[in-house]
Amino acid sequence: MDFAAVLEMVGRLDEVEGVTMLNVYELPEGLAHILTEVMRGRSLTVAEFGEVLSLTAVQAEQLGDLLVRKGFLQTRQQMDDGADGEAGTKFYRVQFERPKRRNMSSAVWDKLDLGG
Amino acid sequence: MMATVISIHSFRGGTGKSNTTANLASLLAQKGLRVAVVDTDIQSPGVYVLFQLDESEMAYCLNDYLRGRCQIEEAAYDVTSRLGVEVSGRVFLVPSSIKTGDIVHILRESYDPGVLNDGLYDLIDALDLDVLMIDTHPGLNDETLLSITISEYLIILLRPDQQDFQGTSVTVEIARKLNVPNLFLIVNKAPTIFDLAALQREVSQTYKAEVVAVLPHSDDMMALGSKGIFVLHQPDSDVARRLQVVADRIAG
Repeated sequence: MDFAAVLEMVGRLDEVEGVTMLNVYELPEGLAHILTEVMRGRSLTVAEFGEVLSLTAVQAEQLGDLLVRKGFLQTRQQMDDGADGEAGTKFYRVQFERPKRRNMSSAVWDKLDLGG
Repeated sequence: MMATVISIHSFRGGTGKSNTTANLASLLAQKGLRVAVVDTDIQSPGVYVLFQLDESEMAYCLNDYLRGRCQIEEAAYDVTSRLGVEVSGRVFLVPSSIKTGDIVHILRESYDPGVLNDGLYDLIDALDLDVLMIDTHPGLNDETLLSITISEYLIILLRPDQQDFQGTSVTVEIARKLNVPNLFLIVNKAPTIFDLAALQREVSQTYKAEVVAVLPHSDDMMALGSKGIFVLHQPDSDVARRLQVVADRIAG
C-alpha cells in the first residue's frame, strides 16, 4: 500500500455519517479494500489494522484516526474484561450509516401494520 | 480455529438456494462439523421448512435479534435431531420470522447492518461453530453485500437460463471487487437431456470462475417438496454425489 497516496486520497474525501455497503462498492478501490478488511475482522486493534494493510502501528493509527474523522470508521476503547474504558485497547470498526425508514405512504404502512 | 463463513446467493429467486444451503449444511454436519445456517432472506424466509421447524417452536427469530429483543444465540435452534439420520456434527438454524407483522416491521424500519455483522460473529463464538452459512435474499441489496463481504466462500446458484446468466455476471463482478477469497458457481436444475460436463465447461468459461457442481433436475427432489433434506433421504442419488463434492471442497 502506498501510504502517502492513501492518506491523501482519504483526506480529499467528503465527511460522511457512516457507510452503506452500496457506498463501499463505489468508493475508491484502496478505501473499499480497507473497509472490507475491517469488516472481515469485525473490529481490529491498531496493530491488527496495520497488519492487514501492511502498515506500521504509527501509520495505521494515523490512517485509522483520519477515517474516523471522515466518518468511515468508529473507535472503541475496550478493557480486558470487555467493558468500555478510556484506558482500554483501541479498536477500529466500520461505521455503518443509520438505517432509514422506507419512504412509503404512512397509509400503506397503517394498512399493513399487524402489531409486529 | 476460525470458522468458515459461506454465503449462498443467487441473483434471481427460485434457484434452489435454501434447498442447497440446507443440504450442504447437513453434509458438513455428517463430517462432524458444527454448522449454523442463518436465514437472512428476511423478506421471504423459507429454509426453516427444510428443517421441519414450526412457527410455534420459534420463541425468537433473527428479526427479534435485529430489533434488540434477544441475543442471537437465543434465536438459534439445534435442528440436528430433525435430519432423520445420525450425524456426528451439529446443525443449528437461525430462522427469519414468518409472521407478517415482523416482516412488515423490517421492511418499514430496515435494520443496522452493523448489528447483523456483530450477530454473525457472536453466533460463531457462542455456538463454537466450524461453519456459518448465510442463506441470502436474492438479488443485491445492502445486507447481501455485507454477507458477501465477510464470507470466505461465496456460492452463487444459477439455472441454465439466460435471465440467470446475465444476473449472475453482476454478482460475480461485485464479488471480485469485494475480493471474496473463494467464488464457486453451482448450476442447478439442469435438464437431464443436457450434457452436464459441457454445461459445466461453458459456464466456467463464461464467468472465468469455478463451477463446482452442476446439479441435474431431480423429480425425486421435487417430489420431496422441501419436507426434508434430500441428500440424507437419497445419499446415492446423482444430486447427492455432486453436492458431496462441494462439501468435500469446503471441508478441505
